[in-house]
Formats: sequence, structure tokens, C-alpha cells
Amino acid sequence: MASITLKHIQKVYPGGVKVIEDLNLEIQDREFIVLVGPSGCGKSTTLRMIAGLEEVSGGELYIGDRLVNEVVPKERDIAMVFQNYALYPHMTVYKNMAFALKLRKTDKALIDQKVHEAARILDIEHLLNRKPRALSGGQRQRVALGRAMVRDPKVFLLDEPLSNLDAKLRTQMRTEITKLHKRLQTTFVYVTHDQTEAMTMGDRIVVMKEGVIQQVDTPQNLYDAPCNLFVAGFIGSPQMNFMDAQVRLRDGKYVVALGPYELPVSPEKQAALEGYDGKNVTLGIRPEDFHAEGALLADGDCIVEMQVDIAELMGADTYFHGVCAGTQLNVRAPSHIHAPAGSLLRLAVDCKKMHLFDQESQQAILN
Amino acid sequence: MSHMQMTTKERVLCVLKYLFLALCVFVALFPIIWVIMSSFKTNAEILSNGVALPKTPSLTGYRNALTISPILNYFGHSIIITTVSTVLNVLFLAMAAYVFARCRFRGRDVLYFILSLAMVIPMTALLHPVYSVIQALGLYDTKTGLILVYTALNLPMSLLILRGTFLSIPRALEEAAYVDGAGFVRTFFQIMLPCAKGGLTSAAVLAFLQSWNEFTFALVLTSGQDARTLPLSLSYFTAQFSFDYPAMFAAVTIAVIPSIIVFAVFQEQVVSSLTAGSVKE
Ligand SMILES: Nc1ncnc2c1ncn2[C@@H]1O[C@H](COP(=O)(O)OP(=O)(O)O)[C@@H](O)[C@H]1O
Ligand SMILES: [Mg+2]
Repeated sequence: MASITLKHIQKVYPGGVKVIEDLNLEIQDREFIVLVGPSGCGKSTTLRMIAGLEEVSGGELYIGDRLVNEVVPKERDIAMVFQNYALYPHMTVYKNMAFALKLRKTDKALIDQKVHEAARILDIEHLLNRKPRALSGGQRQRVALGRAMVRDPKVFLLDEPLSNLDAKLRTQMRTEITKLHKRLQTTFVYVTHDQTEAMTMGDRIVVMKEGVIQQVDTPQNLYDAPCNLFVAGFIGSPQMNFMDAQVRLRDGKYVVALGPYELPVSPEKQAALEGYDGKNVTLGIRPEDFHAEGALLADGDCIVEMQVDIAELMGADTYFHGVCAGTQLNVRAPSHIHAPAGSLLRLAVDCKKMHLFDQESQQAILN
Repeated sequence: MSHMQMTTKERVLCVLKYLFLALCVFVALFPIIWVIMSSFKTNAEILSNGVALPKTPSLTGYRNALTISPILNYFGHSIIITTVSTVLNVLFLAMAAYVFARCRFRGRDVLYFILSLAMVIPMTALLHPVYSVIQALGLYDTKTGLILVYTALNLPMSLLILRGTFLSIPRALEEAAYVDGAGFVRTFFQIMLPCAKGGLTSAAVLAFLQSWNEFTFALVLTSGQDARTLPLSLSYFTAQFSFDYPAMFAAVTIAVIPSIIVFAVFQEQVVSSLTAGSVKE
């Protein structure tokens, strides 16, 4: 159990590739933190620096209160789960799990007890005498988790541990890892490129892009108030809709002009638009913040019309893809709403959930 | 099911294929079988009808082989020299190959290139320099001298095989070991070596065969009876005024049987590691 602090961390790979310039992050004790971002943005690099598998090129890295820049992995008291499991192929599951404890000269009986306990929690007791070769992907993943668990490390590091599993197993393991975190009460640092994993698992999420942290917050806050266009587009599935719009002053109040429509901005958010009169901005609206239900359409303020191209029935919901004010839109509506391709669909925009972004800086103006 | 049955043309092709393969096997095996067969005949039988089966198989050839030459002694020397040099070769080159495969250091590629270059230098070109070095070290006519030379002689091949093997092992395995608390040395011996078993075996087999059959250096670097190896014993039979063919063939048989056994046992591993990397799992 320990907090982790990264202060002005830099990473330059041999050959001069600067992957991370200046990364600052505080990870609380017992927190489940998820590093998420597109492939190649430096998530693994960051995790591997925490593990001590990559040298830190600059800045300070603390685990607990201890500066660990120069500390080798085996003295950091961390455990790591790798994407391709990295089980020792010549050892049985039992020996794989016991290896770290043996190196610490742990008492044999204690090793036995710990291995069996971890195996019981992960439901792999019947596999203890098998070699990794004879296990399925999901079972290997459990062994990898077990190998990390038996040691009671201060910090758990997981690098895309689920990306080699099929979709169904992934969902299942996701909940299991979350449960494991609750049970172990240890700091977890989890790397993934999958925003769903990040949203469902993290206490807090760190969104990264090209080696730079974009935003650190709880899943709910990230979803409700993304700080810039990148985060807004990355978090949430299906993606947020982005449209070109213009801020206008109408009767002393700011409105957002989208093609022929003018969408009102709620009074408490008016101040944020100071100075944007006449400026082009990017309007972001999530697919579920359009409403096609009759009751909501009564209020005439926030109505737009969309020409439907395709309707995708997903079960509980239907996704409508179409064009509104010259832009492509995705709308998510309950499945009792029907609109055939080519028809016009009237939609009420939930104006309280509009996001506006500055087109130059790409930062959020209001959420 | 008619498509399952072979047409006449296919059947002919199939037969031809087997005939061709049989021919290949015959060409490859005939000399060895002939030698082994002849070792059970008498001189007169060999000279009168070379390819006939022995009339009454006799062990006279083997008995004579043992009296004409100190073949048993040489066999012992060969075992010691070959085994020790093979073990040393594989042990040291596994370490070297691991470093070449994993560590970055200045001049690594040049060094590797130079070491591999040894493969293209003909052995005869090395005879004189090696002789001088061994002489200077005071190792002339000793087993140690031959062990040293054989260990080095197989360097390029073993380095090539073992480096390839280590490169094919995922790095995450070592990283897992480091995180688990193992140091560099322990990781090498407890994790990497067992994972490289296939490469180690094939490097060892090739080194064993090479050393076992080596003739030139053995001849040049020894003079007495203390360090001579099995291939040298064969010269005893050709040096006589009258050739004792059965004895010579018996000696040849004794000399090749260990190679055949070693290769037969490990054949699969050698072949698979020589082609390793060409097909991704
Ligand atoms: N050993 C290395 N040498 C040079 N560049 C590297 C090395 N490892 C990773 N990189 C580069 O660093 C960047 C970040 O990599 P990584 O941290 O693995 O990304 P992620 O895990 O987010 O996909 C990538 O552009 C990658 O090409
Ligand atoms: Mg990665």
C-alpha cells in the first residue's frame, strides 16, 4: 500500500525520441487509477518507469515517500501483470506463483498457504500442477494475476492485461479485477487503450495523448465535463457529436447558432461565453443528449431536425445516423422510436448538456 | 467418394515419388551400411565380393581393431574432450549470446560481425596460428589444448543459434522475473536458460558432432598417446602393409555410432531450431 508521485517526469528513449516531456501525477494510496489514451501515447512507458523497467530521464518518482529513480525493480515492492501474461513456460502454475516468494526466502509452509489462497480466490486451484502451455488465455491471465497477488505488493501495475482475451471474457475479467482491487486494498495502476475499461474500472482516469496528460478525473466528471476536444471525443461510446456552430448575442443573451437553429445557453453558463460573440466554436453533444420522445418535443426552444440515413437497432436502444444542419450526427434513442431512412426526425437537444470548445485552443469553453 | 480415389496418373506419380525417395535414402545410407556390414566379414570376402552379405558374421574385425590400434583409449579421450568442450562451448556462448541479444553497448554489432566472420574462415587457415598458440601455452599434446580449440572452433555456429534463440524469447519474461525480485544472473540461469532449451540442445549437438569427427587439429596438436582422439585411430589401419579391411571398418563403425545415436535422439530439436524464426508461431 503506497501512494505514487510523479514530478516533472521525462522520458527520452535511446536515439533521442522524447516520449514524455513533463508529466505530473499524484496517485493516492489504495486508488484504482487508469491510464488511458490511444496507442503510442506513452502509457506503457509511464507504467514501466513506475515499475523500474525503464529509466527515468528526468524528474522525480516517489513510491510512498521514497524516491525510487535509481531503485531496481526488485526493491520497489511492486507487482506487474503483462499484456501477454509473461508466465515462465518451464514452471508449473504453482511454481510460477511461488517464484517471487521463494526469492524472498519465505517459509515453505507460508508460500504454500499464500499460493493456495490466491488460487482459491482466482478459482485456479485445480490448475496448480499444469504448465502455462496447457492453459487457456483466461486461465493464464488469472495465473498472472495470482503471481502478482501472492506477494502482497505495495503497488499493482497492469499493462493492458485484458487485450488478448475475447470480448466476453474481457467483460468478465473486468469485474473480477475490480473486485480484486476492493479485496486487496492496494494501489492499482492500470493501462488500457479502451475507454470502456477505463470508465468501468477506474476510481480516477488519466487521459493521455502524445505523452501529455490531458485530464485527470473521476469517470463521471470526465464524461460530464471533458476539458478539451480530445478528451470529449475519446471518452464515451458512441462518440460525442461535433458540429461547427457560432456564438451570437440575442436580446442580451448568448445563444449557439447551428445552421438555421439557435440553441439557448442556460443563465448560469452565460458568463463563460463573454467575448465569444460572433465567434465560431465547436459544439459537442453526446448521442444520448438528443431526445426524440414526444413529451420533450413540446418545448419549442431546442428543437432540431435530422434527415435519417440509417437506423441501427441495438436492442434497448436504436442508433440513428443522419445529417442535421449540414453535419453528420449520431443519435441514440429508445427503441420504440421509429424513423425509416430518408425521413425527418425531430429532436429535442438537452441544452444543459451542451459542450462548447474553442476552435483554436481546442479547450472547453463550457460544459 | 469418387474424388477420394486416385486416378491412374496420380497413382503412377505417387509410385515414382516413393521410388525417388527410396533412391535418395539408398544413396545416403549405402556407404554406412556397407561399412557396418563389411566389418563383420573377412578380408577375403570383402575383396572377392564387395556387396554380398557376410557368410558367417564374425567379430574378428572388432577383435583385430582393438589389438592393432589403441582404439579404446582414443575412444575415452574423444568422450572426455568432446563432452567437456561441448559443455564449455554451450555454457560460455549462451552467456555471450544472451548479452548480444539483450544488452546495448558500443561496438556490439561490430563485435558480433567479427565473431561470425570466423564461420567463413577455412579451418586449414587456422592450423598454423592455432598450433603456435597452443605450443606457446604449453598445451601441445594435452587434452586441455584440444578442449580449448574445440570450444572455440564451434563458436560462430553456437553463437548464431543461441543468439537467435534468445531473441525469440519475449522480453516480458525477464521483466517479470526482475519485478518478481530476481537479479540479472538469476534471471539468466533460472528463467532464460530453461526457456532456451531447444537452442541449447541443438547448439550442443552440432558442437558435439563437430568435435567428435574433427581430424585435422587432433592430428596437428597431438603427438603421443595421451590426447589422441578416435578419428586418428583410423590411420593405424591404412598405415599397415597389408590392409585389414574388416578391422578398419570395425573401427569406423565404433567411431560413427555415437554420432548417429546423438543425432537420432536430438534430431527433431536440431532441425526445428535451425529453422526457428522462419515461421512465426
Ligand atoms: N524502447 C523504445 N525505444 C524507442 N522508442 C520507444 C521504445 N518503446 C516505446 N517507444 C516509443 O514511445 C512511444 C510510447 O510508447 P508506449 O509507452 O509503448 O505507448 P502506449 O503504451 O501508450 O501504446 C511510442 O511512440 C513508441 O514508439
Ligand atoms: Mg502499451
